[in-house]
Amino acid sequence: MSKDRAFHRRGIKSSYLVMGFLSIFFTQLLLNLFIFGYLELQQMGGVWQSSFAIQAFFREGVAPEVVEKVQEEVKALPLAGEVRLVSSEEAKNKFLGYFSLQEEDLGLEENPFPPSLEVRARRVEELPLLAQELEEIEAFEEVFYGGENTEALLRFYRFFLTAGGFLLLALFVFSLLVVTAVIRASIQARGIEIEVWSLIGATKKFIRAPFIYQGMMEGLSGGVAAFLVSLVFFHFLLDFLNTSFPLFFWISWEELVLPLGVVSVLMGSFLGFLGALLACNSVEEESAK
Amino acid sequence: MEFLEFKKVYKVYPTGVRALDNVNLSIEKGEFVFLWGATGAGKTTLMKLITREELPTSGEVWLEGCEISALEDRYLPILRRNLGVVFQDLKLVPHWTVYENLISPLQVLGVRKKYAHHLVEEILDLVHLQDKKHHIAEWLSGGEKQKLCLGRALIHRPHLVLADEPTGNLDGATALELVGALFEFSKKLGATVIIATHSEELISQFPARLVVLNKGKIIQS
Ligand SMILES: Nc1ncnc2c1ncn2[C@@H]1O[C@H](COP(=O)(O)OP(=O)(O)O)[C@@H](O)[C@H]1O
Ligand SMILES: [Mg+2]
Repeated sequence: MSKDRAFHRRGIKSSYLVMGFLSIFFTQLLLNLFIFGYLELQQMGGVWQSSFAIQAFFREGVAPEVVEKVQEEVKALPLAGEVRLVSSEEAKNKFLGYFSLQEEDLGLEENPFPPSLEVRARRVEELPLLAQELEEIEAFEEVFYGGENTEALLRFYRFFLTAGGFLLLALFVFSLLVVTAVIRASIQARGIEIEVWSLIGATKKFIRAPFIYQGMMEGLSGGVAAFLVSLVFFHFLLDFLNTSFPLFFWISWEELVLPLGVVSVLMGSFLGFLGALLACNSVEEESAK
Repeated sequence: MEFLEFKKVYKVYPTGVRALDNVNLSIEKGEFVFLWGATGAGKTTLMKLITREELPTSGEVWLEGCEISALEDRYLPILRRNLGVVFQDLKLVPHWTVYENLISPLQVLGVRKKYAHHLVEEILDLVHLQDKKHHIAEWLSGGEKQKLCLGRALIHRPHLVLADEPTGNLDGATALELVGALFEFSKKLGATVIIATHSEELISQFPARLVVLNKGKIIQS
């Protein structure tokens, strides 16, 4: 008989506990996938952006003093980051190396490659602006950067980051809605308890406390579970990606641990807490009618 | 100052039913009162104005110098902790045990566990539920549920006990026994007790004040 009773009592609560746990677990998994994608995108962006540089070619027969002076001038530009001089010699060697040629193959007496400056922007968004400024310098024959293509790429990347941010936010709101709905259902299932507590003089705080606690525990355990599952999942995923596409800039597994852990645990318990609070509010409002 | 006082109280439900019609009533501390009336006379409504489950449409309800009909919602817990109520529809938590249902008012009051446990044992003896202590409330018979509800109303030794048809599901002998226990409680602790009933048999058995309610009006007090 006492066994039956235990079963009966646990039955009421556990089904809702499991639902709350699962709702947070799955939304948190989704969130973690997103965080991975976001971090990966940022990482790729970083690597890829640093490969952007402006090539500014000097006019033919420019004097070495002028080259030096202009280099200093460019370095002083507020938008400019790293500035590197590419001498005609270096440019020639690069060309030869690139096409696997010997010096004699060119059959030239003079070096036809002009010296140039390789200029990086402090912020990649300012690349076009910087290029414009360089174009105004007399000593340059031609200033080359990706132009419209680069700008389009930049726009695309920025769009991705913004969209990712919004999606992350949407996902958060979505999880909150799900968690609230689930905890609300569990509170409504215990409506008689709440009514009785209120009738025998329990304060709002007293009545709410177990639900808030339950919500936070569901959130915390859901978050921790999602964190552990994500870690295992990403471990295998990154292994696979690194062997299949070794040249790509994959984020390392170790770099993922901290952000995923912090977000899963904090977000999980916060979602559980907020969900329980919102659910309590809406149930109270309803019963006040 | 009267212990409990109704002043020109009207209660009209949104459906238009006039449940209480100019009720004026004073009850003194320690009185044992039967509130007698046919079904629909307004007994439960009168009780609900004291527990603040309902507000009067007009008029005032005073308890121990406090106008409870004007009490702010946030003070309701304080009011209710000082009442012991046997609800007509019992309001037990069905999936809690007898013990859990009994101890709940003490948890609200923050009574220490050991003392609370002691009080539960005392009350179990009073309402004869000692052997059902760990049973789920849902599984009790109608009469046992009513005993449990009475036990929960008395466990924190309130100054005012409201019992709404507390013997509805009981046979004559058990009903007498239960009201007898309430009578003892009242005498021993000086508590004020109001029992709503439509049973004529019951009211003849105790030396108590009789308040008669008919269609929302008090016709004898
Ligand atoms: N919540 C309510 N809404 C509308 N009418 C109600 C409500 N509660 C009670 N009544 C009506 O008020 C009258 C008095 O009811 P009640 O106080 O329960 O009487 P009693 O307890 O004496 O049987 C009845 O006609 C009943 O139908
Ligand atoms: Mg009634």
